[in-house]
Amino acid sequence: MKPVLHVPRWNFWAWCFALLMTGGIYAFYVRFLHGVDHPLSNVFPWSLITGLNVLCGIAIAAGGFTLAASLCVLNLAAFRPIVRASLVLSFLGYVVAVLGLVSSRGRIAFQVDARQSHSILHGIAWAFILSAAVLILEFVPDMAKHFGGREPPHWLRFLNLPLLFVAVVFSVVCQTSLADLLQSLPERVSPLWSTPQLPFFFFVSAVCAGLAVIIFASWHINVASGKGLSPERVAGLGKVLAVLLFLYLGVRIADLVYRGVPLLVWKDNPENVLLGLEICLILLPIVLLIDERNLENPRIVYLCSGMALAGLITNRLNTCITSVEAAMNSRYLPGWSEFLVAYSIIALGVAAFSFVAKRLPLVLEP
Amino acid sequence: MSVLLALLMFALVMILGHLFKPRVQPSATAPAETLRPFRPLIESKFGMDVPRAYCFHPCHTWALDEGRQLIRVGVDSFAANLFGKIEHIDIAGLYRWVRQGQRLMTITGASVSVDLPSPVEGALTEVNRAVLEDAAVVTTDPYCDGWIAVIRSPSIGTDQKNLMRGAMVAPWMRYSMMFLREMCSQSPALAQDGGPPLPGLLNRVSPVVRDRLVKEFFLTTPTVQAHSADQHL
Repeated sequence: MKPVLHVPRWNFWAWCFALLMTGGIYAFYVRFLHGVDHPLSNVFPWSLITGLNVLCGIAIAAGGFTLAASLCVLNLAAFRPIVRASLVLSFLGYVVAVLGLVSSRGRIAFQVDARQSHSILHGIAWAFILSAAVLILEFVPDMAKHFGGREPPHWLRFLNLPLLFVAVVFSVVCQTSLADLLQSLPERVSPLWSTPQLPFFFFVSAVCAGLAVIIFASWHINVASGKGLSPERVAGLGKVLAVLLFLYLGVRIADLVYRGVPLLVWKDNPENVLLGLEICLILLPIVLLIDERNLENPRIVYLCSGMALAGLITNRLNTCITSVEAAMNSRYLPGWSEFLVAYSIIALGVAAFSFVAKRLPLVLEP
Repeated sequence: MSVLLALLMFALVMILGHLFKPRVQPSATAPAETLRPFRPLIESKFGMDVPRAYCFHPCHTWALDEGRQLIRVGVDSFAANLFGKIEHIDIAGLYRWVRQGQRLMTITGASVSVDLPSPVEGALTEVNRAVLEDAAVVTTDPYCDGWIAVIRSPSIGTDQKNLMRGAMVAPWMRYSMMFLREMCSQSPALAQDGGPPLPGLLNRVSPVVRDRLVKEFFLTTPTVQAHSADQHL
């Protein structure tokens, strides 16, 4: 039987999405025709799109890949149901990052130099292609069943694991390259965020982000269709998230103390306040998730995952915007086109995830 | 500034997501066939049906420990009989955490709505869809098909200490029946020979007596249905 294509209902979110996409497409067009609307320069090279789409997108993608690969290797039956969701998340993370990269560069003429093999974009492109390949291999049997086609040969699945590992390597390389890129000129970055350990911090926080997004998405899938993770599984993931966040926060604070950077979060400087906010958004979920009773409540675990996600966003934006603002003593405000493009790309990613979650079995609860 | 802007947008989306969340689809609850509990062994004590292994909250809700911290809950036959024809049941949201004694459901009868508490503390993992569609099942079969929800309760051991179980149940039910008889001694809905009251006693007594009954047996204040209030006026 041929699947019926359902026309989406025009609810509140559909209207929001339509408005945001219309504005985003127009802003994208303007940026490509007339260039970026914010004077990005060698002094202030990063924008909202770099922080929100590229850094956060790659973080979520790397987190998703690392989770999927570790679950495949360790063969943890308890967390096996989240492998598919992790893979989809990784792919969409790269889609968001690639769209962010393309749009943050403005005019089409500037896109050409992205083809250098030593560029970070090269690594991202490879990670993107591999993630797409892994995803296709994972979902081909379901797609075939869904569209009434013939099932693909079984041996095709054996390619999945090697491809997944190469993708993990590329995603880690992307994280490391981004961290190196951000502190290529250490005098232009505040010592609160510039550290030799930045690649490691990026990696650990990426795994936390991947886990947090899975819990966050599962809650929304459960609310919409009841096909999300079971409360027991959410409690287990919440426990793992608390441990990872604790590890990340511990090494982050230890690094600041080791480098002798004063943690003057109560001082009136915006960078200190924002660092304090970043720490709070990571500390609060840890405190809440330590309590077994809170772990049993999926709503609290969901809120904690939201806070952890907000902590990651704060960290990435602080690293690429606040730290430069603090070091260069300048202020940055995103232009209207940056704002629209950044949020429309995120909306596109969320809508794509929702579309996939409705049609394919993302969470395979036994 | 950009960081705060991004966080505000994130918080706004979360709040709007909460306000404009879609209603839980039927697939959120498993099919009734797979969740149907075993029919309990009913013992007749003091002329009343007492299901074996069930625990009872003083507000006439029951809890059945099914293992793996899963507790099936429902309304006992005494409460179901008091309501008579139940028109609608509103149950707390799926995956919501309810505390012992906190509101779990609102039962709307012909003339009155009453909040009933949860007998145990935990997360609401399943809701009986059959009861939402046809609330009359609660009156006809309160201990089996008329179950209300399944709660995942990690603290069931502690919660059970606050519930009536085993040998305590029959005397408590008998006391409830005696008290009911005393309160409604003038009502024609109760036979003076000691037989069970007619179903829907709450709809047959005066508003004053009805409020007293609700306060006594459900430890709460009732919400009077609009049409019923008009009728009494």
